[in-house]
Amino acid sequence: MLSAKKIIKCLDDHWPVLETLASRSALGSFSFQDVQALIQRYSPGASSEQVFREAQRLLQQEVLIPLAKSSQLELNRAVLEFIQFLIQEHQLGTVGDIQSRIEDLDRLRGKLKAAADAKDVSEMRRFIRLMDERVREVVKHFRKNESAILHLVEQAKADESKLSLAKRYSAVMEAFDEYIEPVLQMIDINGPFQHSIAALELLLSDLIIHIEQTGFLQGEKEPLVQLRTRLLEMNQLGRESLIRSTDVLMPLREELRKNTLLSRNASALLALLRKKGLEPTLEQLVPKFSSDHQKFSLGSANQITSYMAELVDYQDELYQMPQQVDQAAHHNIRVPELADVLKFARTQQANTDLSLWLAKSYPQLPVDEMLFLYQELSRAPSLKLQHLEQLTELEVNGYRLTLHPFAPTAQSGN
Amino acid sequence: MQIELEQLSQLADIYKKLSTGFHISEQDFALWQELDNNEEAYSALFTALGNQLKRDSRGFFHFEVDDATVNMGKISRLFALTTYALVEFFADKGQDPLRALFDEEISHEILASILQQQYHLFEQLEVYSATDLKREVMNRMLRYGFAKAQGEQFKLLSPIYRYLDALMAVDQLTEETNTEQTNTEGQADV
Repeated sequence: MLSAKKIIKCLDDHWPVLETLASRSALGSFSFQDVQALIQRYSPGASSEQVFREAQRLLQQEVLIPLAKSSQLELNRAVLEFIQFLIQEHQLGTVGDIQSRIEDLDRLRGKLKAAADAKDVSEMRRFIRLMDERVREVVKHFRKNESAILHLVEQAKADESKLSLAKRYSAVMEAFDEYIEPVLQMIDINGPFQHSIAALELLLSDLIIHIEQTGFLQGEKEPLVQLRTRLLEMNQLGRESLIRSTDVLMPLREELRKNTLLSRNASALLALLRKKGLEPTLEQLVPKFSSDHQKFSLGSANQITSYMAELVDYQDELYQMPQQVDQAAHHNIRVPELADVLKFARTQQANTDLSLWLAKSYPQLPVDEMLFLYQELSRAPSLKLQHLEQLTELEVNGYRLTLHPFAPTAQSGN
Repeated sequence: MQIELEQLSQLADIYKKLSTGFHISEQDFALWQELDNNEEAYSALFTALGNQLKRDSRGFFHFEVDDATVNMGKISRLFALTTYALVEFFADKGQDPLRALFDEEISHEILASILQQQYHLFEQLEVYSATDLKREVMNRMLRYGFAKAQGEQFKLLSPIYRYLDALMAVDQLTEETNTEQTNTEGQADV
């Protein structure tokens, strides 16, 4: 009895062993000692007793099954298929697999129609679910077979043995004659596949339109639409998968392919990449080159490490500060407070015009400060000032100002 | 060894190219000839500067680096994948892959074909179209001296041998696992 959790634990514990056994499954059965040797190889530290126990465990879990009337073992079929699914090493199925599903779809179509005519909702649901299942199975087969063909082709291309072309490619030829050709015939535009699909699509569309028009069985519309979509998708997917399979098989079938050491290696490597992923394999292989610019920009951990390593040898350079250049002593200008100036101006009872008085009283003041004071004073209500008609010119800190000055009005002067 | 800097007339140019990861092949005639004539002096100078000048007998110079930066790793993976996909492509067309690799001009159609054939691999490196492939891979190959432009098309140059050498190492890898397997099988029999 297979126990799901235990099987998964087993797969996890002994993945490399099981993967190797799966890849050898085509070669036939193996012995209990083979399994022990494999376990020993992948966990070198284990004692022989542990190894025996682990091998025994695989047997108890029924991951390994003894052959009839023999001490030889084989992988449990379900486990093997799961492993093959995981490592994408499928075995090529037969046309019959797909054909039988399509025939079943035909049969179910009749039943669905009958159920729809009788307005039997529960039966309709059941048939829709069954058809959905069949369509999914067909899609699965297309995918599986494409991957299987890729695998065949890769093996044939990377085969090292000095066999004749015919022998080297025998599996490929077989795949072509026994899978590709019949499937091509089947999905041909006048073939049975297309007839079934077209009839089924018609039925589904009619049902959907019927539901839309009458509003009856509204709840069944969604699964019908889903089924129709999946059906069309299956058709598309089957064609594409077949085209791709033919593309990879063609060069071999036509004996076009040039087999050199280089091309054999390229095939082997690309197959490896397809199954194991890019990163781990290419990482060790690719030539390394880099630029200084990147060497000195801190992007990765090892860049930071090397940066730190360089810090160890760091020596500071003495830096000579430049000589101070003598400058003329800065005049410490005290900008007078506005209130003080106002008070001062009032007590002085300045009679002359305001600008002249300011220039005389604060000769050191910068021009902008001076103008600010001038503006503020001219607005101050406590000084009664009036604008004069004639222009006054005065020089303040090298700037020549021309303005209509403010002067005290006649009353305030008195 | 005494290095006469005045005699190394193309020093600045050569250093700038090599240090950005460029591969100087016979294609860059002036620089290649300069390096070819004064290899020892350049090599000594670059070693003192912390770079290892490497000359390949198939006609190119480059700096040897131990640790590639993360980013360059991705670029190098792209170069590798493209090169191997091209080998596969030419072999399938019945051409000798090695000769075709350097003789054929790589056109947009060829790029589109190899992308279609190895889509699931290119996808993992975020290359989704022939235009991506041209921009991400071929244009960069130009920048690092692995290819030259021939109008709208590309021609691969001798530094590509670095990737072909790596491909030959695969053979050793698989052979190792094979012998390992036969070894264990031998043990099993015992």
